[in-house]
Amino acid sequence: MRKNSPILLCLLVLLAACRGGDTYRKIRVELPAYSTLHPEQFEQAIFSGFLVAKEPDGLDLNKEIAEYFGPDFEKKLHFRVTVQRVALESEELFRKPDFWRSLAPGPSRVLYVTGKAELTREMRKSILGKAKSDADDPLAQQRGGVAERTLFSLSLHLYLIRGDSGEVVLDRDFKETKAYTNPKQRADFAFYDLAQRVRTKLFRPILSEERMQERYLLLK
Amino acid sequence: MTLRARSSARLALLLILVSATAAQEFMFYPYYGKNKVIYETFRWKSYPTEHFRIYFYTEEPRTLKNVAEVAESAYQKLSEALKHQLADPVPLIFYTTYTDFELSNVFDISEGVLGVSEPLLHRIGIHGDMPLDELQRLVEHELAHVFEFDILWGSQSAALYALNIPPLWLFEGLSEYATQDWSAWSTMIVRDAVLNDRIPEMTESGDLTTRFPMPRDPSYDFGHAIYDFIEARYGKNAVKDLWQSIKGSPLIRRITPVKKAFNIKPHDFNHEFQKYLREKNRKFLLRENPADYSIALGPKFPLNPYYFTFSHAVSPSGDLVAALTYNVTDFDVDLVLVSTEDGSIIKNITPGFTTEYEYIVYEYDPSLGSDIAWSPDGDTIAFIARDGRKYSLYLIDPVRGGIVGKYKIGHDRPSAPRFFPDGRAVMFTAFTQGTHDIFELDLQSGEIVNLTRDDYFEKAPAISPDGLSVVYSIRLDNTDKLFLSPLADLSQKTQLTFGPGNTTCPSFSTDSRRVYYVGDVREAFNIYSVELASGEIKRYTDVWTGNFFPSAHPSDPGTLFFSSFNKGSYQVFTARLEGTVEDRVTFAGLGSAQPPRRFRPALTLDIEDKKIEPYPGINKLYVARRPPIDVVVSSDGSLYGGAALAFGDLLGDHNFLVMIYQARGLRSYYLSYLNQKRRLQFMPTVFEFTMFYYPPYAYIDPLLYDRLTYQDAIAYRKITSANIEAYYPLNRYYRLEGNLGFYRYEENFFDPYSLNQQSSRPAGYNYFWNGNVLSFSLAFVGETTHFSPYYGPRAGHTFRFSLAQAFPVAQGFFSNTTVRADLRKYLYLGGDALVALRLEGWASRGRDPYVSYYGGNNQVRSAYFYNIVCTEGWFANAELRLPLINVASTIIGTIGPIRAVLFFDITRAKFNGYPGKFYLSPEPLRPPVVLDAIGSYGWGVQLFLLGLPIHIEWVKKLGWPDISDPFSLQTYGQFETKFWIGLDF
Amino acid sequence: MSKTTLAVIALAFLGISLVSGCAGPHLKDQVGFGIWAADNDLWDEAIFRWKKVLGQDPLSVAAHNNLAVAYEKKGLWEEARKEYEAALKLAPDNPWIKLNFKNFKDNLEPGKSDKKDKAAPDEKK
Repeated sequence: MRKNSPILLCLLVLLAACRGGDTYRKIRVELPAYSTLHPEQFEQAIFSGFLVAKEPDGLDLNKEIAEYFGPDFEKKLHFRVTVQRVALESEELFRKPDFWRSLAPGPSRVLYVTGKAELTREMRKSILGKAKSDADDPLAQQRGGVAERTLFSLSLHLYLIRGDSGEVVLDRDFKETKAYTNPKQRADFAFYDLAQRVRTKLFRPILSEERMQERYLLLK
Repeated sequence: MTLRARSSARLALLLILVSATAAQEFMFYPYYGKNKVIYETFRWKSYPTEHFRIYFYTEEPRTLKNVAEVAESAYQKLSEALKHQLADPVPLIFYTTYTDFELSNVFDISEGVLGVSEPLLHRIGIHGDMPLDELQRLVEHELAHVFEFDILWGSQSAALYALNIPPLWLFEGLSEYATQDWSAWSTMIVRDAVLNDRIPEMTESGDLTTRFPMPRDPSYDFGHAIYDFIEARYGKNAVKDLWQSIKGSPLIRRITPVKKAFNIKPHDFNHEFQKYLREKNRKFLLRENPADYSIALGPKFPLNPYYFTFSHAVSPSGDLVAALTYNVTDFDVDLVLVSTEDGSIIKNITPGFTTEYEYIVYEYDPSLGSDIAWSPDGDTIAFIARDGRKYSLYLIDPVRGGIVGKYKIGHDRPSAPRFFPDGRAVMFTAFTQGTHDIFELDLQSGEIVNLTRDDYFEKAPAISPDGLSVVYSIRLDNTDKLFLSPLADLSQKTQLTFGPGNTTCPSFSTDSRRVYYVGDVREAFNIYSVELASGEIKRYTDVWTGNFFPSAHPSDPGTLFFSSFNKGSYQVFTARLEGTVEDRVTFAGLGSAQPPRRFRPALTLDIEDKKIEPYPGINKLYVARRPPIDVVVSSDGSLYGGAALAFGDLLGDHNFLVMIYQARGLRSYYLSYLNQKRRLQFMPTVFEFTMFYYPPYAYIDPLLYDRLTYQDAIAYRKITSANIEAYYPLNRYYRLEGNLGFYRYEENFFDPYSLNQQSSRPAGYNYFWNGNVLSFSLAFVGETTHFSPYYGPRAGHTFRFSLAQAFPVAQGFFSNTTVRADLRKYLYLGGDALVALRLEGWASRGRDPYVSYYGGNNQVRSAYFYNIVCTEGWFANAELRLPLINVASTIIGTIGPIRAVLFFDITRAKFNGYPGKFYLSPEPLRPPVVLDAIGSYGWGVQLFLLGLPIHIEWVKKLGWPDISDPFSLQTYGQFETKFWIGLDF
Repeated sequence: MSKTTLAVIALAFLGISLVSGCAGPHLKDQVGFGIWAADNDLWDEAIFRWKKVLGQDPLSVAAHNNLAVAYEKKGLWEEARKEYEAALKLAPDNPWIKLNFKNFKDNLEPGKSDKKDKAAPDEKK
């Protein structure tokens, strides 16, 4: 009997595993994201400028935002994209429907893309511990000393505002950060990397893109 | 009895059935065959016209008139076109229905065969389950073959001696060309191939070949196109010139027909022919390619093993499509479920093989309607299948695949099942007494009611979702038109479509307000719809081949599912189609303006009753088929050869067979008469059969072991007999056999003097049978085995049980009782791999027990051929057969298929009254080993070369000293290489 | 009984258990049919089957829950909510329905569902 115990144990485990799906079944299914925006109601996206709190020298954040996100509105949502800078004095303006209605009087199928943006850059340093000497490779450089990183942070508070009613249809805050070992990392390249992450999160709900999720189906 | 066995071995099968007690001696044809059940005996009559003698049995006078007029009209047309006359009247055998046609003893009819012609007696076989205009076309096609045989070979029997048969396209192409008509089906096949750059090409030897899958042999459609091309390029007389040129071809070497007739090489011909076809189809280039609609749903051979969607039905949810398709790996028609999301095959719900029905009915002609239907509650799918004499409607569970309902249909060629919206009944069409009507089958009671009862050819009905109307097509003259009737009264017919062209495959929109259909007014079948309230007609497609079976998505208006002919097969597509308004029609009642047009043959004849004669039957005999020559090689190196000649009457009811057969200088003769006119068939036979075997002399005198080999003890057995055999098929798979006969046995060694001289026993070997036998036997035979075209048995089981009694009626007559059993089981593993199991056993008791012999080949591989002799015994085989190569191109030509086999066998045998032992002498000059049983194991390969099944095997001997301990087996000796030619069991 | 026989019996038993236990839902009922359809990504078919169940048995918890999942898949949020609420009303303590409903609500709030995403790695040399 002792010899056969492992076999019996395996049998029992297998049986238990097979009997596990008695009342429910766990499934992984791709579910669409929920969206309050109905893209079919619009035909034009106007980048009306962002309130820029901070941007690195030599970088026009508004221009970068329009140039990066504009083609996506065009290709994915089939909108006609234009840039029409509007004087934005404060954040409260985003919540004033009259203001936005007045920009395009009459019925229009326009969506204003605006909000607040900030791209910051800072240097961070950290002290590295000494690595153990490697017996296999004694010539390997032993590390130690101080490590430098260039940290870029993109904060984007995005508003999508209906042109006909001035209603805010999307109000989302994005903050993405990335560190680079290159101390001379260019700000526009860093913006590109960070904006890529924002783009994924922005368009998923707009396009109701699907994401894998778990659900449970009941068998009886 | 005519059995559904492969024709090359049919004669040998008849030989097997001669003697109920001699099964072991016939090793080269191991199958019993399925039964063709003659359910009905026809009272044949004949009627002569100017160029035909029509054989018929129908009592309906109008039918004979129609057939006579069709035949003579066809003759007039062909004679003028080919400038040729036939010397003798053509025997035209008319079967009233298709299922009657299948009972023919002359022709081997399978599903889908409309008509047959044969070159020996110029007989034509046709059936009446089709509209008159199609019958006309069919007779023209088959009669054209008769003209071809006559032009080529001159006399009726000259075809017997023709060794060099011209390429098939010459025959089929001319038969199609002679009708001077291109069917929609044929046009589509050609156009599809042209626009997809898949035109078949002529080889150097003159054959027409293609490497792309096609719904049928290109000889038909492209043969027709070749003749059109020849006429266009070389003139109308060129067709006759072509046939004159092949008439004088030498027997052995074949010259390419086009080279001989027009002095053009095949590759130049191909270039010109393709250019001609492309020019002819140029205007269709800008039309829609079906591949633009959507991805193809379902069968996508060779990406999956399913080719062709004969019919499809959309589930009530719209997520699934059931498709009737051809399974290329199983050579079978299957029902599969397809996802409409991505076109993947979800499930085959009719996998493997079954005996619940013989085959699922399918149609190439879409105008007859789809052959499957999905119930409104989504729980069953209906299809029609062949079930014994006629057909049955089956309901199958689409997920679990089991049959959940079966309803007998007593009518011919049922098709187009459609559920009523409340699911309580199914509508279908079928032939009844020469007309094609619409029927209702009540699923509760099984009762069938004819809803139309008229002489119109109604097809492809569809019921509106609101349950109030039914739409269908009627063949008027030679085109199909759509009609609408209230479901409560199908005699009220409102015509929906008018004008030129066919309109078929109707279906309703989900709101019952619109009827979708297809029409070919633009020379290709496109999807249309007609709004029932306004008569507005919309066209939705402009395809280059043909779209069929449009049906609306159950919950998405504007989306249609349909079948389109694309790249050689029907495939299912889906598309959101807007449609453009093309016309507006005013509906009219059938015949309200003028009587509906009916097709009539060109000639009119009056039938004279006094000329009708009863069929004389056996009065006149003809050579039935060309003498086959069979060759078999056994594992002892013996060569078997034989030939046969068969005679029969015109209808094949009475058959005489003369056979001669030789092995090792021993000749056998055989003469039989088979009467297969009725269900109970009988066959009196006389024969003299001489065979050899190797009695185990050492069993009697072990001293001989050291002096002689087993082959030195070769003996002969000569049986002279007169007997009568009877067969009664219970159904397609099972039958009873009986035999009563007199047999005279003579046996002795080839060289008795020297054998007995060397034996230490003065009496010598005294187990030879010399005497008379008067015996009666009964047997029960069954074969459900499904055969692969290449490898033989594939799945199913086969058995034969027999009991024979020999009566000692006088001095010198033997007395014994012999029972035999042969059981086989084939377990299909998929992909042509299978496990084959056999158990065969027998016992003969009595004063003179029958001595049987066996061994060698695939019975007991390690034993010498026919070297195991006994009165009781059994052997068992287990083989694992695995396909290796389907077809291989080698320096000696194409070989294949090639299959590997792993085998095991075991046997026990004894003489009555003696212990059952085997003696083995594994080492010289040592006493033999005594064994209870012997057997073998090993492996081998089987390949086909020149049509012969060749086996090369490596065999090791096994022995069981004590059979009560089956695991006490031992192996003896080395692996031996064995070679034999013969069929697998 | 010999060892060989015992082993054969054990293997047979294992085989039977595997087949019965692991074969998935029984397809004798429409709920099982719908699950089969869902397994094959045929959500319209699944909705058709589960709605059929509710037509015969409006108190079927499984049909309400499963229909809710199917509606989620189709992006029919209101319908999904109604079915989840109906299921919870019939079986308020069912942990699987509660978990489904929670995930459903999280999915409606984009910020919450984004946080579950794994962040891309930073650039390293």
